[in-house]
Amino acid sequence: MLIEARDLSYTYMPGTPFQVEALKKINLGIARGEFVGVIGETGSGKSTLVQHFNGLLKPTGGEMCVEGKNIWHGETNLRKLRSRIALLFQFPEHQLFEETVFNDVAFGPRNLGMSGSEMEQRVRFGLTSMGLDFDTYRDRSPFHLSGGEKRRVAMAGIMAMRPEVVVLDEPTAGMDPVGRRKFMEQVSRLHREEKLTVILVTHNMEEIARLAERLFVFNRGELVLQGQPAEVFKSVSLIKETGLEIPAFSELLQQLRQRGKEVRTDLFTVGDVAGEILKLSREERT
Amino acid sequence: MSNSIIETVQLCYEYTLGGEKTLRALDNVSLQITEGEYVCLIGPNGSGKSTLARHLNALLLPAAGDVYVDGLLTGEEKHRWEIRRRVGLVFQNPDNQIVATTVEEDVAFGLENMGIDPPVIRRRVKEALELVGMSTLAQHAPHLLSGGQKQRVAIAGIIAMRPRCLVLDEPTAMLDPRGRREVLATISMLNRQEKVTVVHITHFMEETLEADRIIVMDRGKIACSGTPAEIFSGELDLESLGMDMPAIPALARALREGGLPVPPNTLDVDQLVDYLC
Repeated sequence: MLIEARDLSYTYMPGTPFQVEALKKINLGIARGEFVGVIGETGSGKSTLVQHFNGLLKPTGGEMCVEGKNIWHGETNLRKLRSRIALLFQFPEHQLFEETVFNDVAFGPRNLGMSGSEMEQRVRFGLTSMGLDFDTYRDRSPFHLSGGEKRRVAMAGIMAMRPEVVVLDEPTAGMDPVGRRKFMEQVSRLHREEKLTVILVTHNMEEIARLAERLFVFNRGELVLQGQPAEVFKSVSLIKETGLEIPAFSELLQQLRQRGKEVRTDLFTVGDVAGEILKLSREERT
Repeated sequence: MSNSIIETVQLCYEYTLGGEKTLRALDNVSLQITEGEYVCLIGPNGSGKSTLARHLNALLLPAAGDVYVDGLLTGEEKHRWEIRRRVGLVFQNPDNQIVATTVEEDVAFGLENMGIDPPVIRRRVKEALELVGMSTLAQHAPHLLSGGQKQRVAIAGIIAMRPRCLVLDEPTAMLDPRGRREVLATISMLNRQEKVTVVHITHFMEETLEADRIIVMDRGKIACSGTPAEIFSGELDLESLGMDMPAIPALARALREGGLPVPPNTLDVDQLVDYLC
């Protein structure tokens, strides 16, 4: 396992009246090249968990391991770890600060000691990886971009570090449908083509069902369910108890099955679901 | 129009970008909203939705054209407070809207500013909290509530002022699925049961399916408007307007293209299951 939590617990402000057990003995593993989703209500522990993956938080119990090694034992270089496992915070556009898009994206590579053509190549990679044309955007001010573009520039800054893993904490919150789609298409392409490991925290069930290979469901600091989206969304009552929702297509296919229709329930895109229903209606006609 | 609670007439607004440069955010928007209507406003970021919303209770004033609320012109200063009492605005982030240390004090804030008698305030706060389902938490500290609860407290604070129209600017953008459901149920109840006119701005297409009318904005203009069944019938190219189809209408369109004559007013799972079974 690339990333592994073993009996990981985290308590905010231990020993004070404000003590909150945010994570309780979590065990989970994420393999290299996977696209996983982390879902759960606000306050369920999702964001606390993902901040452990690159050592931003130190567990108050249990272990956080990367490639089998506890990152808090011995001499893990946390700085290096954070360039391998990069975290895109919520509303990352608030962290843009440079005068040009180029300088903003170059911030990370420059801190790694790069300059000249090597650095430029990284910036180019970062921008194109998020679907932003290098020459069009390099000299523009990040503050005069649209909300969706700003967020893709922030993500380009992360990609310029050439991380192995990206952790995205609600990356599309507040974006319009087109901005959301463009952002997620690029992330999905990086996962497919560059074998980027993606850990996505989101409230959007339709999106995560379509994109993730595996889901982790959190409720009140506990990992209550994990598995492929189709499996997870079959647990209708548990999902609803945790305050989440079943994607519309899962609900539709499951209801059709309950009414005696022989349909698969593990489909999440318009094309796949339409294909399945059209196949069924052809069979019924013959 | 006599039964319009809100009317905009060739409304224009420009933002100054510094120097000579301006950005036309609203471009000749003429619009009427009927008393009791539930209107959803959709459109990409920058299409003018929020700018329009801020004109509906005189937070912004037209650069050209007019806005009438209940027949009162927003440009006339003497009407401004009355207009703001009649049209309440709820914003995206509940954390920025909460001012007091307990839920009931927070809801009372607007009423106190209006100089209303304390016994009346107490009654209205109690009623408003009951309406949004927050009475049991009246004494709680607002910062300890969930996002959905906070947003319902913000709505209660507006409702307590007995507005005739509620304008909500992406009220669910920061919420998890449960919070979103709670807030939507509250909005819908206020409209259907209390007959409050609702103008709801959202980026979530699924949230618009209960509206009486959807207005699609594009670059400061009204691109089109119609019932959810009309807007999501598959005839309009919503994608080119920067919007999406909700899941079930998108599927219904794909099924029609595949030769299955699903009616164009199929909007939710139950309707589609009934058609297919």
